[in-house]
Amino acid sequence: MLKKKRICRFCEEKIDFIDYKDDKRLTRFTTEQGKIIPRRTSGTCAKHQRQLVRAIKIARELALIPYISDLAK
Amino acid sequence: MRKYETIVVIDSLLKADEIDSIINKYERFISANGGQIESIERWGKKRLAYEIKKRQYGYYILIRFDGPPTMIKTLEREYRLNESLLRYKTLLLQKNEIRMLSETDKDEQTKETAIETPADPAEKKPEITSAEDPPEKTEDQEAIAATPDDEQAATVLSSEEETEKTD
Repeated sequence: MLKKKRICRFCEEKIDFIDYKDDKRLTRFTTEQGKIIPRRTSGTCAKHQRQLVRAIKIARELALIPYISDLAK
Repeated sequence: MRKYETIVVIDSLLKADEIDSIINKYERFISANGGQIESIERWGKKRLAYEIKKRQYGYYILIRFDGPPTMIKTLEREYRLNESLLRYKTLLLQKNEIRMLSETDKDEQTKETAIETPADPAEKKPEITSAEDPPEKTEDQEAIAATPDDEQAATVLSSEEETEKTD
């Protein structure tokens, strides 16, 4: 069988702080509807996923990224 | 003293001078309460991701400052009393964030001095890590990371298939 290799994009780029202001990066980790993509799909490591989730939630509060995108309405 | 950053979203239907006066007000408030303003970023009028108080746009301001923790409570209280603010948030800067900020400052300085050395494309090739992933996986990654060239991924995949056959 094929071996699965998941790589955390943040570890790759050696990012140790995920900025909630970086809405372009954050939307890459959400689905079209605006949901957060799970770790098992995106391959993000646990440490960075925790930071990412926090960043996404802050950005949502500030209306930088949507809770639910218009596509889903 | 601790480093904070505060984001304020002002109603963009206000006149420019009214927005300025709001910004000035909080600037003065911070320095009057023992804070030291480090920088103010005006992001300007930005489209909101969703409607707030029937507004489609907001005027974003980011202020970074040093200040005593006790001041945050009063600052947030001031925010709450102002009805022309759509959103506000004050966050303590994390250690990593402070490091990142100082690094980006350095980067910008070095970039100005040495622009002539763009990243070598040949060097970047091995960094693309989708090589051993199954096909659906790479699609995922492309969606997430917008991998620059599909061609490369395709060639990598075909080479992978070959190795499978030999197995």
